[in-house]
Amino acid sequence: MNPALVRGLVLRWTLRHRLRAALGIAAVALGVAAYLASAAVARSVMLTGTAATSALAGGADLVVAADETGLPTALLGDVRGVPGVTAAAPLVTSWVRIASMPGRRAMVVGIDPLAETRMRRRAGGVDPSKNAAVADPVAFAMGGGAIVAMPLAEELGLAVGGVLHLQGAGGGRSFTVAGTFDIPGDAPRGNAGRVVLVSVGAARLLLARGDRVDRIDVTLDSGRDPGAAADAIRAALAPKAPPSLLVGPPGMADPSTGDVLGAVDVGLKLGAVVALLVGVFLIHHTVSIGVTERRREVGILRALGATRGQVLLVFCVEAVVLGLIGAALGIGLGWAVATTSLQGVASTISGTYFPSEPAPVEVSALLALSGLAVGAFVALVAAFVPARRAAGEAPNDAVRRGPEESVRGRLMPAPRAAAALVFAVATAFFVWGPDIRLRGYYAIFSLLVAFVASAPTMLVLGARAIAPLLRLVAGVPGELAAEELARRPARAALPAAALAFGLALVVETLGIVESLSKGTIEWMEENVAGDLFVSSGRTVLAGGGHTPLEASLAGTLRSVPGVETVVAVRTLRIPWNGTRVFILALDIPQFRRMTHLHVSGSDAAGAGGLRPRDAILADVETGAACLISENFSALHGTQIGDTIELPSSDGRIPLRVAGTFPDYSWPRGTVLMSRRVVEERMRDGLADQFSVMLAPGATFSDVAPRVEAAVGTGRELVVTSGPEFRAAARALLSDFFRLGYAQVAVSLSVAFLGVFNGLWIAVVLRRREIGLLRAAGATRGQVVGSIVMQAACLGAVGATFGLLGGIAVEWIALRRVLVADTGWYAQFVVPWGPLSIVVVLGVIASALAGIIPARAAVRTELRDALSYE
Amino acid sequence: MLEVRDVGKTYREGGREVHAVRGVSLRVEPGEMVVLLGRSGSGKSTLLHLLGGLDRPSSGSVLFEGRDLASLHDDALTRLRRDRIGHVFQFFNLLPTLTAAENVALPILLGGTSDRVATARARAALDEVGLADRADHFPEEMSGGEQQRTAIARALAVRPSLLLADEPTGNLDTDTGREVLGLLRGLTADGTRSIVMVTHDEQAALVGDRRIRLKDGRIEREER
Ligand SMILES: Nc1ncnc2c1ncn2[C@@H]1O[C@H](COP(=O)(O)OP(=O)(O)OP(=O)(O)O)[C@@H](O)[C@H]1O
Ligand SMILES: [Mg+2]
Repeated sequence: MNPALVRGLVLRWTLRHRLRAALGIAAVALGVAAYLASAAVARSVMLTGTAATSALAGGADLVVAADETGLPTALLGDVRGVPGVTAAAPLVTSWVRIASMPGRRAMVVGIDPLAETRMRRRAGGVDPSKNAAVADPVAFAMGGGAIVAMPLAEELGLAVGGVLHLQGAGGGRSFTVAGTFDIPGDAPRGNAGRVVLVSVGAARLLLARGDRVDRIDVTLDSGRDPGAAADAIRAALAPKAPPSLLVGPPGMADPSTGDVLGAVDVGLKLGAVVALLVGVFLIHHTVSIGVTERRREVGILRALGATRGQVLLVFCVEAVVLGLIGAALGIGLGWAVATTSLQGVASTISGTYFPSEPAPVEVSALLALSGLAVGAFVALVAAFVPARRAAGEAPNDAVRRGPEESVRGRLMPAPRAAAALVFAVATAFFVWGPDIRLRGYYAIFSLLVAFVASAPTMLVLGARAIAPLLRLVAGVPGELAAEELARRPARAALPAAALAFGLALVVETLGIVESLSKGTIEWMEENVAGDLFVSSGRTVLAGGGHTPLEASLAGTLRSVPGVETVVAVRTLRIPWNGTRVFILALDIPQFRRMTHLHVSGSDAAGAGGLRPRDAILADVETGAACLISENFSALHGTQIGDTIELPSSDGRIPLRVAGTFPDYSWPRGTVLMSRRVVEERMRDGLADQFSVMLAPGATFSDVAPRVEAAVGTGRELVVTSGPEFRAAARALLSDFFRLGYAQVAVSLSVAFLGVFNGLWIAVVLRRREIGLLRAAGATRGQVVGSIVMQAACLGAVGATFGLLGGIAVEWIALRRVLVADTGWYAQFVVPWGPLSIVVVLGVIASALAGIIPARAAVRTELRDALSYE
Repeated sequence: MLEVRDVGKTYREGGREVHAVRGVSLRVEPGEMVVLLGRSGSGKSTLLHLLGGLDRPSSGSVLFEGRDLASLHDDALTRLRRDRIGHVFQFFNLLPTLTAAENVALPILLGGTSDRVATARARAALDEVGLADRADHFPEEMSGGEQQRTAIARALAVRPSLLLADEPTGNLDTDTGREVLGLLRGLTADGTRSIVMVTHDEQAALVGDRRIRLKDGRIEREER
């Protein structure tokens, strides 16, 4: 379209209706901001995770790995023997404590210097042959030397020749600094900056890895197809390799967003989607009112020779302009929110899952661009229908008639009725029909569309129901309000629907937060039993960040006076059924004595009545059975009595499912099994934490120092009391849920914007009518009263529908989306208390939103209003 | 140039039929100025819309430069309106967000002509109606007569062969109205352009070559 026309027909028009445009822009801005902020948080968390798991993968063509217990070193020779493999380098990594600096940690990376030299291509700042100044290669190769990342060396004041004491699961070891290396600017600094390279042999001793390595990095002869090479390696290793063997591109073992973020991710996505939907809504309304008001202009344009396409373009360009401005503001807002208030949230989530420094929350240029695209797209979608209506306008009709709406709205026009019906049926189909991918999202989407389509009708019915009441309590203004509501349903529907939408989201979010937090906190109170917890480096909440200890310390702990029972807890996340499941390995005999776990299970035959927890745990103790979490059962379709096979280094370990238990620790499912099996079959004798039950009469303050004295030397123990530990866990959970409350704030603002926008427009369109009313003798007070009354009425009806819709969405989100995604079958809680406050606030906000346009309307000079046409 | 054969237009409103125009036939020759007269509701505007391709007849045919408008689909009809026919309406003639020059340039721009050319032609047309100094004013900054002259300039700017004016003086005082009528009359002087004008002002009607009186959608009488 000609730029002069864009300027004259679009920009000037928009500038003349600044406030209206501003509301649409604000809604898009909020939606885009919510989208960006959530994407940025997700990205930060994923970056942290990727950095932690594959900070050092650069340069490798393929990675050979297994589960967290690693690979036998013997496989290295087999890999090197595969044709096409240039070099294969073993790798062992773990976070360890720095003995000289309590609380600080280093990431030990054990490498084979000879193999590394042959690989030559390792990037990520840890290529000892390139970036490092190695003063004493021999010492390094012999195991006594370490090459330290520059930032860490600076922090510790270490120079070449200095001594670094590290504390791993295998005890303390000293390393002479043989060199330092710098990190290229683009590497994930947080983790790479804390790397200490040692020889793989030294790392195995330090970390108590026996003859195992974590990973083998492979480079291929140039031109080799990685897929074929991976197959060849798999075939070559088949006889000896553990069943959990993974061969693939670097990063293959990284967890997915869904793995890590689980419910949080679902919530963030829903929030952004709904905020954008409201944006669609407001832009739609802005454009569609513009179309109504500009009917005559459209007529002139058409009479002068504008084609339908050109008219369509005018309105679409208008919408895109609004959308782009909104998106630009949204990018700014999203960036501000993401980099300030969300950094803490992202760090909490990262810290929960990964033992690494959290990556900063950033809005990349690409993300910002996608925000712009989303804004423009949303605006286009919103504008398309009214723009089509404008383009379809018969030119003579539009010239002849004024800006009044041409057709009186029927209660429910056929197309809308059809849409409402189709989408209602679709909702039902997605809720109760076959279990297809993303069904929950589809269900919510169709529910929302059905909701929008039927909103005006619902509103009229609601308004009709309230009308007699209005007349009764408010006299003439009430009468006027009731009449207007019943007569112009479509116009009144926007504010009500916007309110309903916003409130629906609030209800949904609050409901989900309440449901999940109630479930998780109850679960935690019940299951995180113990009076005292012992770990190393850091308390163990959801995983990561601590240094595993030798499980055998449990024996020492048991002999500490005042200690009654000690359970060594080992947690692993191992590949299973295309994802990674959480293994909770416990000393079952001790666990049996202290747990309050709610276990459901039946007898060995898989039939019959429920058995007591103790009998089921006795089964688990044999090593032939396990418990699975309820979400494991839901996600993987595993039933009590089924047998699951876990991979291990010496063949598969079959475990019969003896029962299920509620669990919220991992969105992909948890297996509770005997730690003895892990130790014997997976050759993993470590413990992440010890749960201690105190003897009657013993107190935490008595026992904690004794624990420290008994096993604390050189281990940097963290001893936490039961209440302290649970409080920390609760704080962590509420951090997660804080995100939900941010969403509530966004929804409420969006709802308010919608109400305000809708009422303002309704008043603008009725200016002439209001003028006539005033001329006919209505006082200002009566006019303002009628508009405010209308607003309050819309508020009440909108809030009611919002409440119902929100509860429905919450139900779908919990029972379909969340269940499909995480298997968590959270209790369905409707938080009536907070909700009733929100609803009352909605009605009041809506009434208040009516006051401003109402006052503006009565301030319009009578003459002006009447000469409107 | 323009020939109307037995054309009728029926509106259906809530089950009731309104015959706005019935069985009207007329010819307009090049250089001729025809005035449509009649009482309110007699079908003048409807007939004018049929002539200009703004509306399609329910029966009969409208032939413009030998082409039956009914046979053209919407886009072709739109292009014809844009390039060959000028419209002047009674009110709300101008787009409020465009300056006088931009309003005049609008149909030219819609045809895809470049900005520069369109602006030059628009200014020339404004000059023709004596409004060169108002080019950068918005409609609300102009008097009714100036607005109407701007609208005429816009109708002229595309160099149409037919100009349709629906009560162009309806909103103007007598003197200004006379000025506008003089302007319109002058446009047919070279014998290539035709004008059809609707009015119910008998005085105004006298400028035409012919006066056609409508009553209840029919031609009641024709005067020379
Ligand atoms: N879109 C329409 N739908 C229904 N009836 C219409 C429509 N347009 C015009 N009419 C009717 O057709 C008849 C002729 O209308 P028209 O506008 O042509 O009259 P007019 O002679 O131009 O009157 P005026 O001098 O008041 O402008 C009127 O009775 C009018 O009500
Ligand atoms: Mg008329």
